[in-house]
Amino acid sequence: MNHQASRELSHLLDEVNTNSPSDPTLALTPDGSAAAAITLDIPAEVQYVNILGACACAFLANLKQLAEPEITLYNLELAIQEVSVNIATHAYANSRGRIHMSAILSHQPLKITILLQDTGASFNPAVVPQPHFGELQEHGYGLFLVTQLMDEVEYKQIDGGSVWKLIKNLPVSVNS
Amino acid sequence: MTNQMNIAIHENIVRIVTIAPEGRLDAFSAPKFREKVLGLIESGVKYLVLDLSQTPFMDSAGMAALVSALKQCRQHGGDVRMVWPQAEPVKRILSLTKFDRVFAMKNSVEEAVGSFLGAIKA
Repeated sequence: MNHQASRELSHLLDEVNTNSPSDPTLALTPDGSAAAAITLDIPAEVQYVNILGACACAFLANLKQLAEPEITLYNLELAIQEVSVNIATHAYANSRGRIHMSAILSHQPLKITILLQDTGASFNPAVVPQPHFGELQEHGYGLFLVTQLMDEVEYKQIDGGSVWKLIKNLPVSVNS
Repeated sequence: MTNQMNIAIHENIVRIVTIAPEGRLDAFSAPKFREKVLGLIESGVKYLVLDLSQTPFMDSAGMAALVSALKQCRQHGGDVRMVWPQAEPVKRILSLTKFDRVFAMKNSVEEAVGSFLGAIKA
């Protein structure tokens, strides 16, 4: 990752926790409770992208207060998979590169923010049509799933690449 | 009066093949799945049961491979039955994308095969 892209990513991470220190590995939320973050950098190839979703889910696996963990973690994994495959097959259609993921768990409200960064070709999500449901349509479900399964989806072009920001508000069990 | 008897025998063999991806059906594994389906269709199979009961994860590339299988079977005069996945999150995705309206969904391979046999007899 080049210096400018790194600064852009750091800025995005700071947006997640406005009171956080610049080092995202252990940030503090405004109420003082700890927020944790992980980062991962992998080759942007379809045989590796499953690592990202699996890693994000493992990051949340011990979150005891999570309601419907099977559904929530699956949906998170699927959204990360879709974006990562999109990066591997479209952003890097004519080149090879890497995907850099940051996952930040913050509290009150409990949510996870996923940042997926690439240095490949840019993409315009606005031109992707909605699938024609109920028809024999092979393609076009990926972005639809991401937007349906996540609470916020944002795509930004930054210097030398792009960043996807996915936010999932994590449902809390009433028994916790 | 003749004692001759003509016996006409007709045999109809319908190949119904079940293909069951056990494990993730995603962008990495979908090409292999497509290749298997293509091989079956080239060998004359046109009735396929897609058994997703042991498929714990499926992305849009996997879903595309399922639609492709259905298209190919229908192009050859056949059809597809799909067995619901056991994994509840995968079921929900099939419902969210309305795949459960595109595919004839069944609860088991036996039910899927029986459905084919009923349709073929009719």
